[in-house]
Amino acid sequence: MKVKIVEWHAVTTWHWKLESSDSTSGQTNYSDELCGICRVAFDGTCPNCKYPGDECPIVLGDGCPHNFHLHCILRWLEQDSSKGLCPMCRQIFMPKKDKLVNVTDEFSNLQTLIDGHRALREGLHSTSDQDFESYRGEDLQMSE
Amino acid sequence: MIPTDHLNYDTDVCAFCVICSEINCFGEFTGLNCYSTLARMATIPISKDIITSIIPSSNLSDLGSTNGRTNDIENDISYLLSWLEAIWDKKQLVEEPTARVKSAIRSCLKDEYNQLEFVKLYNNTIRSTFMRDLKPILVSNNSLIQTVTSIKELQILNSQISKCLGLKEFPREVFDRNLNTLFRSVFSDRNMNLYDKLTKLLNDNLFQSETPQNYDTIRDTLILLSSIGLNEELNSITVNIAIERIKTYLFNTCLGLWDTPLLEQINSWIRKKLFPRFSMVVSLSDSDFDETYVYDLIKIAHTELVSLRIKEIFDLVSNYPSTTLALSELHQCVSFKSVNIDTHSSNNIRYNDSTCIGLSASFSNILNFSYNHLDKSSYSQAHQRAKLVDRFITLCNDKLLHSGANTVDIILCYISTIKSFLIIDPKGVLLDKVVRQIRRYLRSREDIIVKIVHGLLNESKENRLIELSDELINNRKKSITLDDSTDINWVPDPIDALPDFKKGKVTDIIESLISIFDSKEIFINEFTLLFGKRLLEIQGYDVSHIIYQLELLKARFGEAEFNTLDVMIRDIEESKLINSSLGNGNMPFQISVLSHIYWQSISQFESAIDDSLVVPESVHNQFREVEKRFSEIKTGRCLKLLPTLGRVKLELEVGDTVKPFEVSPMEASIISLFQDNPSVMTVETVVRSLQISEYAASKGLEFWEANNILRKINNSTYIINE
Repeated sequence: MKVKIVEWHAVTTWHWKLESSDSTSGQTNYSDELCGICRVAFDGTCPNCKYPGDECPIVLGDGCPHNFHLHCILRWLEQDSSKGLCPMCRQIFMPKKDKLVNVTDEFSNLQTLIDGHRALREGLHSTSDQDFESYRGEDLQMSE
Repeated sequence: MIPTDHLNYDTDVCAFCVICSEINCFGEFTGLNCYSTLARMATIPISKDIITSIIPSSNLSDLGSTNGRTNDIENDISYLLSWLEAIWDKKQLVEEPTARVKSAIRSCLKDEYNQLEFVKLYNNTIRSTFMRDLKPILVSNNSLIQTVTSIKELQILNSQISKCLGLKEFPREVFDRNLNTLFRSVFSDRNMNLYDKLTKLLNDNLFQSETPQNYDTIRDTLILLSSIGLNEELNSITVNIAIERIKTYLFNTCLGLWDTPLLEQINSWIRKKLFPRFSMVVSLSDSDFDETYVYDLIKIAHTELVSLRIKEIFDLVSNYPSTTLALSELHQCVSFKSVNIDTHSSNNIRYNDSTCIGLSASFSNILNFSYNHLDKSSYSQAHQRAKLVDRFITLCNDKLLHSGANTVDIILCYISTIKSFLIIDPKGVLLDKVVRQIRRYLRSREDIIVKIVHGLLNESKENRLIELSDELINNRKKSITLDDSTDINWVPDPIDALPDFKKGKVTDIIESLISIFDSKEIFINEFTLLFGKRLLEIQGYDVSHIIYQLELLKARFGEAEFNTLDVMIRDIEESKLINSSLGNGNMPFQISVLSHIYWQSISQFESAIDDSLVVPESVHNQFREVEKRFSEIKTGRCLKLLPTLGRVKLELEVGDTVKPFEVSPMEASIISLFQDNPSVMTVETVVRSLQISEYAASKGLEFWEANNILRKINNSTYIINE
């Protein structure tokens, strides 16, 4: 007996590849992980989007292991009080450039925001290290 | 005049009584004595009979009894009395009174006062005679006609007497009145059974015969009965007969007949058959009689028709739409505004104007005739509407709302209930009342949601609830408008509406079904599941029909409720793009890429079967290839295969023949095992090599066995059937 497969229609699901700190269980842990800002799964959407995937991509943190929906982190960084820091660990937020999906306006916006924050930070740095340190301290208190 | 011994006796009793109560049965009175005294007292109630036995009323014989005096008056009186006695003996007026008697009459009954006194005495005399001698004979007479004839003779006799006596107006009236009272007492006697006898007489000769018979006799009877003041009884009997006739007629012509117009037929029957006979009787007994009574009869007939239909209401509803005519006639009969009954005569304006929340004036007249046993309240429309509702609910509980009935049947009945009751009462108040029970019951049915959802979306002929699907396509939801305070045509809800009555909620079939449950979410979930399954089964990624159905649903449930389904549809559409950009390998390998968060219902469903199926290696390699390409197109993403979902087209070469199959991946994987390995395989081998459950393995093997590809050797071993 011969079996000839004429057509195989398979059903698959797509997932974001995450390299988060706690991905101990490897590939099978298809991130039920949540975006730290909106508390929605990465494979879902940010609160303002309807369709997941292309329309609502995610951003992986470079300096820290935290990932966010692109729209969520954009809204965070748009606030001056964010100071360009990761909302989870307060380190300077940097996206993994090589992982950025096809560069769109939104990603360049992200880059612009990050650059803006860096410029602000460096400006403060040059005038007074003291100021900057106290500023950070205040900020931390506020967040607590 | 009072006999003294009676008085003494009375005082004796009183004395005993006093003593007895004072000494309380001690002393010389024994208990027995005392008891008998009390018992004797108890057996002598003071009644009219006793009083008359003690004090007999004076009569004519008292006049003659004063013997001894011989003046003219006395002579005249004795002449007069003997003349009357002769008449009474023979029971007929033998001859004209002699001149001596005439002069005696003249001298005795000179003025009105004398006449009146004489009449009183005369009355007393004949009353005792009549009661003693004549009444038992008259009452025991079986034939009503004979009784009437005898009474008529007496009436004639007495009118002749009164004529001879030359009575003036008032004494004459007293004379007649007394006689009528006596005659009435004959008819109202319990043994007489006037009601039954007259009913039988009228039925036999008038109402139940093709042509009226013996009308003269009946007419005489009726006139007599009417003349002695039995009008009320007469009318009541006639009306009751008419109502009975109407009931019988309706029972014979309308019972179970739902597809022909009946109201006109009933009306003309009443006009042509019943009313002429009815009028023969009532025109004699009722001075107010006129043609408008026919409308009362028609009204009664309609009411009776409603009562009949109320008994049939469940069948009427369940046989909808063949019962549409009966239902709309029922509507004409129970709606608050009275129906305009054919207005060819000019004097029935009164009837047309009368609204029937109360009863029209003449209607109450005609009903006043009838006896108490005819409950008048049952003729009010409000009562009938309430009865209709109660009856239907009771029948529903008995026949439909129990575990023996199929959910689809209940839904079908629910739909016809909505449609039928909207015919009966377009305002929807009755509907609102009856569906509450069904709705409450439907809520307890577990499969109701599935049935409704499938009913809405399945457009094939097999769908028994295809009506829902049609409804969804054809009727866009009408927005329920709130009461508009500026609307000049606004009318309040009908008077018997329940406080939370909302017309739109019950009249729209789909809305009515959906609103059985407070939350729409369960429906949305069921839609998602159903559409999910369909989306996975779709060939060639054509989602246009699903989008069309979804649009219809959105119009009902609201746009925002279906976000998940939007994403699911988008997934399938995108899958098409992905597939075409991936290009085909050696073997046509297609994928549907799902956003797993939005397919929860499906993935739960899938994992319940088996998640770890090992697909044939060639397929798995193909998948790896596809995944690699996918990651290139969609940066940062990977794919995960759901091995048990999807469809596989196979061609099996068995011997010389090629058999095409379309199977599930599970079944395809199992049969592929037989290709690569020895042609005999046990269930355990399959379980081990495919890493599936034993249940799934044996189910798959059984599938191929059923298709004659495999053969079972023993309990757990299969071989290729070549």
